[in-house]
Amino acid sequence: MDIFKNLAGFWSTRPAWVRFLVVVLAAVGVPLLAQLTSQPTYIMNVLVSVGIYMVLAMGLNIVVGMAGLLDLGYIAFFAVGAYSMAILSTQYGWTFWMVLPVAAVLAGGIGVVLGAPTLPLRGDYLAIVTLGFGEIIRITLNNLDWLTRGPQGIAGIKPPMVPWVSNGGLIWLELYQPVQLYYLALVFVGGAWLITSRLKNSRIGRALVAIREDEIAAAAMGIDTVRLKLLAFASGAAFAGVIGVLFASQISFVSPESFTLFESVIVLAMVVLGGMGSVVGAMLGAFILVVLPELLRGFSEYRLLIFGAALVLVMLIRPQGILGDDSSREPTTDRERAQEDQSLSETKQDLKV
Amino acid sequence: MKRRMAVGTVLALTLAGCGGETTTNADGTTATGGKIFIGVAGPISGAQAVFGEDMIRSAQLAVDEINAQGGVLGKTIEIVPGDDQGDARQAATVAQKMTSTDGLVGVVGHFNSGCSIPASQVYKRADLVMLSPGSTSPTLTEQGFKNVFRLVGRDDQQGPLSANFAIQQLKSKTVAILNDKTAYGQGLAEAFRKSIEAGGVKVVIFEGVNQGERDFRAVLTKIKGLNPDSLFFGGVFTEAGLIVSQARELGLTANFLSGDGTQVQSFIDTVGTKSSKIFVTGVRTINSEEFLATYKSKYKESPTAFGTYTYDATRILLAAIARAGSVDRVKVTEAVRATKDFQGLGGTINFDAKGDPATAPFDVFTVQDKKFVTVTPTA
Repeated sequence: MDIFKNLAGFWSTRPAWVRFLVVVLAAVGVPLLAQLTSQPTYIMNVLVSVGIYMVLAMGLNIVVGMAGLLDLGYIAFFAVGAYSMAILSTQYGWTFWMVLPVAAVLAGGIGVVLGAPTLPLRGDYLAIVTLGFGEIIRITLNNLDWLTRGPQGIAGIKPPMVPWVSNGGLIWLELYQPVQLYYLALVFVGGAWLITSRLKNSRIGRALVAIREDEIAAAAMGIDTVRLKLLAFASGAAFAGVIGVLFASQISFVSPESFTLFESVIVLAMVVLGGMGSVVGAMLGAFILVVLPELLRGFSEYRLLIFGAALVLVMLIRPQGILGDDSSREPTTDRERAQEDQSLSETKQDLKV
Repeated sequence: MKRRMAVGTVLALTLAGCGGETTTNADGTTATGGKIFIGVAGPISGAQAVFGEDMIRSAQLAVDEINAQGGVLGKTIEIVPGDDQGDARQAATVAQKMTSTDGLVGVVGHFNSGCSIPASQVYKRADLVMLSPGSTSPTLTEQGFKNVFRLVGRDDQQGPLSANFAIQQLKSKTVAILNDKTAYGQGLAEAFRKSIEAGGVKVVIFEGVNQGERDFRAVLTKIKGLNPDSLFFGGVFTEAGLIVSQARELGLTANFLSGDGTQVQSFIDTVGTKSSKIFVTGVRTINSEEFLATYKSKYKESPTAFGTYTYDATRILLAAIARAGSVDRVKVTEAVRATKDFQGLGGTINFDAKGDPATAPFDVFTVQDKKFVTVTPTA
């Protein structure tokens, strides 16, 4: 995939401020471009979905991509956030901004509760436990009628509001038009990107990657694996909780049907498709997996078939994900193995000196 | 090289996707010339695809009829399908697509209540009228939106009908109630419980089963011990069929009552010979022979119960456009609201202030010779 490498190479050699400016201008300018098409509100609405899934993918990327903890129940935290908004908004009249911190803390807390008993588990075993956990949350929501109205769902959730200056002075403006929600989602995506990409390059991020690569070695190097794994669970969950609030107030209706295992799998697919551990990769994965089915709408009943085939194709061509890190891959060819052995022996010689 | 080709294929697919998009848009812009668009939104793919497919087919029949007579306002009608996969998020996206399609004046849909409710919010903001053929949740029309209508009766219209039948015709004194913990099944079971309790009948058990389960013997054995006169199930035909056959195997002979989700031929197939004492409420069909015959000759299958509602919904929408004399969305909504004594397949249709059908188009059916037959009120 030379084309990807060349592009990535060109991009990474530009100065940081140029890259920043280009991304911001592109993101802010998209709604203007959409006006040129015949369906601007539809495009904006799809992009709001893209934004929501981008944040979800970035959150899951902390857990799966960085720490290597295979979580199949991730959507449960999203559900916690969405239901926090639904219940607090319709029953107690809380606004969007009031619910945000509550949802983050609640989802993060539940992340720790899930994380604690599963600490000794790895790989497949962890996947099964988290899968069960995701189902427990969904079935609880479906049965806790007095709080969640069960399968009937909760309707009439208020849209997010921002202070706005109009001719009547300072007012609370309800954001329900897709363009308005787009900019709001953009703020969330930007925030999540800033946090997760800095996290990845921090001491914590490196420690998480070390745990992913070899937990015992990481522990031997003095990394507090227990604390860090819990932290990974909690922070990943908090992202899902926060964006769940946006989801609930955008759709205005939540019901347990929106939080099935399939959703967890889709978010996981975004992380894997984009490239495990890569923050931008997770965003790209989310973009592709939301936009592709929309582009294929013209094929009506065949669209999911084509969608699935396209996914298989990508994974065959690039098993480490589109923006996956080549170096973290297992050496596959004899030549690569030989190179790796050589570099290892070189390091050994360095150590002797 | 192989890889390049594969990439090329993906690109081609994507471009083809884009291509499809632009053609619809192009159609959209020509709408002012010779076409009027109506949206039909439902679960065209996914687990409930059978209903979505049926909606498209039934709406197409209504559209074909009108187009054969020269269309509406001198323009031909074309359907814009919207696949919500039975998912709330998808439904909101589909709704946005419908509202931003030029020349689209109304939507027949959505099917699931969980889709119709979030979609109705989007349609309301765009003043686009929606007529749901399948969403029975009371919440949909209780939101107070002026643009929302439905053809199917609400859970709290159908439940009482079944309850009254149990009280008056079956003279039940004790009932057991099961539901499948879905919005539809639970809503219906709650409505049934409310009115049967108001009628002085004792509810011995009210319990949920999980959709997708196949063995209900545990809960049925428990019910048998409580010995109710009647058993009500809020849910759809798959579980209902199994519940009836397993109940009869266990020697539970109580009357079996259920709603329109059960009025499907495969329910009768599952039940087989154990078809006595089954009473389900379902779509009233009095003038539908012609529709059923046309449907069968065109698609080689019988429609589901919701096909008739979709057909009626489409015809009401098209009649409203004709009466409004305009493709203005607000005027069409008003015209739908003003619908008076429309001759539907299940009888006369009027809407009440909330957008619900004024009289619930339901009858009680029982099974005879592997067919659903109406129970005459005097029986």
